[in-house]
Amino acid sequence: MEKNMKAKTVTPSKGALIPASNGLNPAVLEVLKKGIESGFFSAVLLPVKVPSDDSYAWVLTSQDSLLEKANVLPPVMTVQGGKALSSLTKHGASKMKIAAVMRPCEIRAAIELAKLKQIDLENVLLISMDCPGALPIQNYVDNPIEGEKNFSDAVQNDDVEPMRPTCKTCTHFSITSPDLHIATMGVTGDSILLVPSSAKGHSFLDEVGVNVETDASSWSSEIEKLTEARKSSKQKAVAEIKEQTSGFANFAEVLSKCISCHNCMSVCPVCYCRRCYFESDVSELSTEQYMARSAQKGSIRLSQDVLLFHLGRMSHMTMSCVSCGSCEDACPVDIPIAQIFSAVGDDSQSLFEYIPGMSPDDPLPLRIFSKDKELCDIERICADPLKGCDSK
Amino acid sequence: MSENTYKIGVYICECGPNIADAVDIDRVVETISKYPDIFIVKRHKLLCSGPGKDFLHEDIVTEGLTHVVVAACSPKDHETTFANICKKSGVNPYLYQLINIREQCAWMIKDKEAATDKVISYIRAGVRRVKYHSSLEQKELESTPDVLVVGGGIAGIESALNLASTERKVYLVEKSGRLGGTAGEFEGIMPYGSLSPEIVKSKIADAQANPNIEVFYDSIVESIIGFFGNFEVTVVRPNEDNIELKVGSVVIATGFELFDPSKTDKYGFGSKANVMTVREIEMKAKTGGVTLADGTTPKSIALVHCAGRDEVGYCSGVCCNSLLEIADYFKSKHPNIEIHDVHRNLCKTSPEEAERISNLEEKGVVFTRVSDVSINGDSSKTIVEYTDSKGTEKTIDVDLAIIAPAIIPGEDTPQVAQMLDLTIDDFGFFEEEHLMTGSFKTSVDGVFVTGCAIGPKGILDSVGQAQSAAGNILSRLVPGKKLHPEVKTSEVIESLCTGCQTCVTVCSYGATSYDEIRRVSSVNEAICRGCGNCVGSCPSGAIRAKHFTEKQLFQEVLEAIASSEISG
Repeated sequence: MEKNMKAKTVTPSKGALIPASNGLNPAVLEVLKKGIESGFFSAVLLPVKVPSDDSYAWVLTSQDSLLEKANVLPPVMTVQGGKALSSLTKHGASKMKIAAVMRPCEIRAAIELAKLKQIDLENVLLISMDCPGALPIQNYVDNPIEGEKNFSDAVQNDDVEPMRPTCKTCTHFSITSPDLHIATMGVTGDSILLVPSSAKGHSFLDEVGVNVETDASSWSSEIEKLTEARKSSKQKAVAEIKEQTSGFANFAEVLSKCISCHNCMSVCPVCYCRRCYFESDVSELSTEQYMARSAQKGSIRLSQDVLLFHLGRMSHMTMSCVSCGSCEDACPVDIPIAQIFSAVGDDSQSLFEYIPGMSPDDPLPLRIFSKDKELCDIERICADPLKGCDSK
Repeated sequence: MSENTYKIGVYICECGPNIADAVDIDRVVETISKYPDIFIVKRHKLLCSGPGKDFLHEDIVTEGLTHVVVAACSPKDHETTFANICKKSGVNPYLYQLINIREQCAWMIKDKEAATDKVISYIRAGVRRVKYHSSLEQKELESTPDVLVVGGGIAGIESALNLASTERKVYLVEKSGRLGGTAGEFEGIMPYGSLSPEIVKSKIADAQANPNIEVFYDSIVESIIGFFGNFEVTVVRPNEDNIELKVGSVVIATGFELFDPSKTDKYGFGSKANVMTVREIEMKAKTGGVTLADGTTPKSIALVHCAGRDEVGYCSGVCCNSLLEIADYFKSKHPNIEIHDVHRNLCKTSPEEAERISNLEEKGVVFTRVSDVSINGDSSKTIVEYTDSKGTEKTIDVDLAIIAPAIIPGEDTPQVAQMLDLTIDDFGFFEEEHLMTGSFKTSVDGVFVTGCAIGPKGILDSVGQAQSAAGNILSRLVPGKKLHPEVKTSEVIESLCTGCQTCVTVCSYGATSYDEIRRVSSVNEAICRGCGNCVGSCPSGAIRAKHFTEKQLFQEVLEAIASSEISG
């Protein structure tokens, strides 16, 4: 459980300026097509509008006809991109090179899954973009045409109000640790800035023939400014959710409407067990035992384990939760589950100075152990009282 | 087996007055008897006694029990005793549960009623648990009694000599061209507490002459894979093909190096002062006598302790003695020589050593406790500067300063550790399994570390450790006998394994590995010691600890915390 000291990625100082007079999507698709034509990658994984025109699905393709329908920044997050990439490369690296265009929280989930060996990032070029947030999926599917309009208006006006609660308070909405990042915020003049942040990213831009020579400081200072503003709104939101759920009674009350559908678990990108403990028979009791418990306590709620399910999932996910909000999007009874997980995740992650998904090189905190430091840090016991250690 | 074929017997031991006085056993028997599925509840004065064991055996057989619960003392005391009786009586020893009602109830709780309540809930929990037990079978493994010893120093030689026999071959791999290691270099002056040079020489000769010890000179061990009883070793030999060996156990005796005093300017290395290390004195004494750079014999010497003590961060413990030995050497050769012993601490590890200091003082050796010491000078004089116990800075001019450098880990330590997946301590030595109870064992079963490879020590201690390691191997790796690996091991439920390899990172014994082709983890039952680390860390619940399954623990806990009413 060693602390990770280098969790923060260094923001690149230069990018390649690309004209985007028709908006972000056509400009990015243009670059992706060049990548396919040049053979740098064989296919792209990106959100494509479904035939019924009312949602998006992850599609791995190199066909122009599908790329026409792609939207690198759709108004909603349907399936979390990390989950999509996991289903593609869980059983081994792709032999062909592919590019995956995903929101920053999807990239972070992918990095976490790579650490958990559920994704193989070899031969994958990760591309992210400055993310304005996503609309609640229910609002969108109720009226997709209005949803598209609401989203583009919100993006135009830098308005986070219509977005999902976790998006409104997201502090990692820009570059995390992709190979290539598409900068839009603070980039003026109908352009986008392609910012390479790995050797793979650089060689891709070389391949498609764009020069990385534009100063990126107006973008990075805009991101810095926005991040600070988000941090304070996040602080406020976290205080509210903690107030709402503090203590056993409040916590139980917030979760009391849970219908045990386990949607939150199914859509969570980092909830990667084959079978959830709570879907096994381990904690099932005999009829007599249920009767006895009911008699003993006066009553029991059936089916059991609503609280334990959420607490169990929380303990599993808390170090790797990227606050993507998928669980809350999928909750049919509007439990603010993503906001709860995000608040708890922030606390436990900060204990180890760990930011999930920020760097593929930061080890998962619970997999490493440093005897001296951790006994002191966590238990306040010195492993070697004669020698003492750093933290004393 | 359906539930109604269960015949569970509960036996309560009074442990003389230990349990009987603190617990109302009559009430326990009465309450537990009403519990469903319990066939019999009986009490006995002392189940671990001869008559007690006979009673238990006869009763299990007569009643035809399928499961046995014994409420008695700590499992450390008699878990195995009663397990053996179950086995003898035809009940699988894993269909039995010992409940500790002595240490955890009778000795803990003064109030007899409260103690009795606790005993009842413990027994109920144990009975519920035993219902979910499965029969487990003891497996047997073939093994080879042969042993690999890495390092031909005194610790390695001693291990080899103790182990080699007509039924057990020992392969001794030495990276240099000779046996004896550091101890073998001592001829002129022997540090106190060491074997005499003749004994070291005779041990080397014995090892060389022993037909059951095969020595590989100028050779290194390239790889060791396997587990206790069955290791496969590759040795790289000079001018010959690599040789593959099969051994049952491995003794690491790779020795140490000495701290290089020229790494700091404190000890006059680099100036022109006459400064020598203990080892240089040894070598000079061996080849004709100690002289200064100009060829003359020193008339005054300073013995400066703790060279490198601050740099390495620990006391090597044996260097003080080597300096005292040198004082003895000079005093016996030149009674009038002036000797100053300048130390921060004096390590005296035996009464004889304390006596030796008194003897040296009588012979005129001046012992001075100092707080800070350095050596300077030129070819004509050597100056020892120090701060005395009163805080005054002082100097002594001598012809020669002798320093005792710290013992540091051998250069091969990291490579050997990596090869065997052994842990290294903060100072770079091999880490012992436990400082007191396993000072020559490692976290890998069947791999032992002896001598200075595990930390600074004298020759006597190295020899003792080598004998201990050999003894452990002799008692456990008996030629012709099969090994009995741990029964309560972990097992992977492959259909649930996601292949995240968390279990591989948390296993202390190297028992878990990842199958790249099938993309699941697996546990090597011959290595697994059943600690449960992998079970606890597996997010998917895909690893099960035999005899500690989630179901068993869940039911046991549930019953322990249930109300005192009979819940069934």
